[in-house]
Amino acid sequence: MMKTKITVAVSGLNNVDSPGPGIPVVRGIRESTFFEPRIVGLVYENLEPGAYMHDHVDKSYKVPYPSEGTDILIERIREIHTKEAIDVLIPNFDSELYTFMKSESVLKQLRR
Amino acid sequence: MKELKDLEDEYDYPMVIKGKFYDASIANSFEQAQIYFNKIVAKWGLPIVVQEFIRGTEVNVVALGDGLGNTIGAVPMKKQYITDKGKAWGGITLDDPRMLELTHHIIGQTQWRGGMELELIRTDKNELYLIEINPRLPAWVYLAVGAGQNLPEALVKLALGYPVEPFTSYTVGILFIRYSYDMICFLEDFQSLTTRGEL
Repeated sequence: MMKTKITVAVSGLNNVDSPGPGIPVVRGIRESTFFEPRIVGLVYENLEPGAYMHDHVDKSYKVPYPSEGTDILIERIREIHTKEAIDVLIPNFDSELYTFMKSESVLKQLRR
Repeated sequence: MKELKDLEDEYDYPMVIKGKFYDASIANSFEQAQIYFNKIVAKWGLPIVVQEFIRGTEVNVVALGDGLGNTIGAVPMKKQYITDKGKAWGGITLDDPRMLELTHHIIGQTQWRGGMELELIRTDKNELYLIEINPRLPAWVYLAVGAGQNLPEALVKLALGYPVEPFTSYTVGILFIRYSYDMICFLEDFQSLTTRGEL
């Protein structure tokens, strides 16, 4: 069966004492029998390990912290989207969930 | 602080003082509770969650809801090895119909759309207390994939509007054991991320 090509943006690629869910989520998506994913990493810090795991993450972009303001973060997502045509964005940090939920309609419009 | 003090009428010490996103400390007195309250507020801001301390074993569920009240998948797990931050460094899938029933109930009532993690304490009397719901997939979600429920794939399908059949089973007694290792990376990669903001 031909797999469906999609681009998935994922955050939570950190791994300190408390690992982020990003890489485990990516591993599941990569094992999909249905999708052939391109994985775009959204990273807040320069040393988030997932950005350097090229077998898991195809391309990574730095993004501003949600605390810097919703508009700034969404503007950066818009910029990344023009290059990557993101189909699905999976936020994995508790602290960013509200920002993305609040921006649901803006993000949906970007996909059109 | 008065509200915190007033809780003494309802709860005995120890109480658990929790941040809105992260951090939790067990306070054995009002003085300790005040210290933890201020520390966590300084880091994560308000509100602070205060809970009665429940003694028992921590068990968790990773689950996925379709937004219509249906549970697409759910896998219960018991932490086998816990770090000093309370994080699972090893865990095992459980055969636990009560935990699954509770998960179905929560997803059904809230019409949950997306991934979630339930954090529960099971007491010696076999009672289950829900202490936290994380509204996202947890870092141990790959255990569910290993047990036969690829919840991240199902999440992407749901997001794109594909029909998704609920999972009906998973392998019980599957373990995850976490490991950290040193990756060797190129300076050019680090420079690219720091200067150009992409890699």
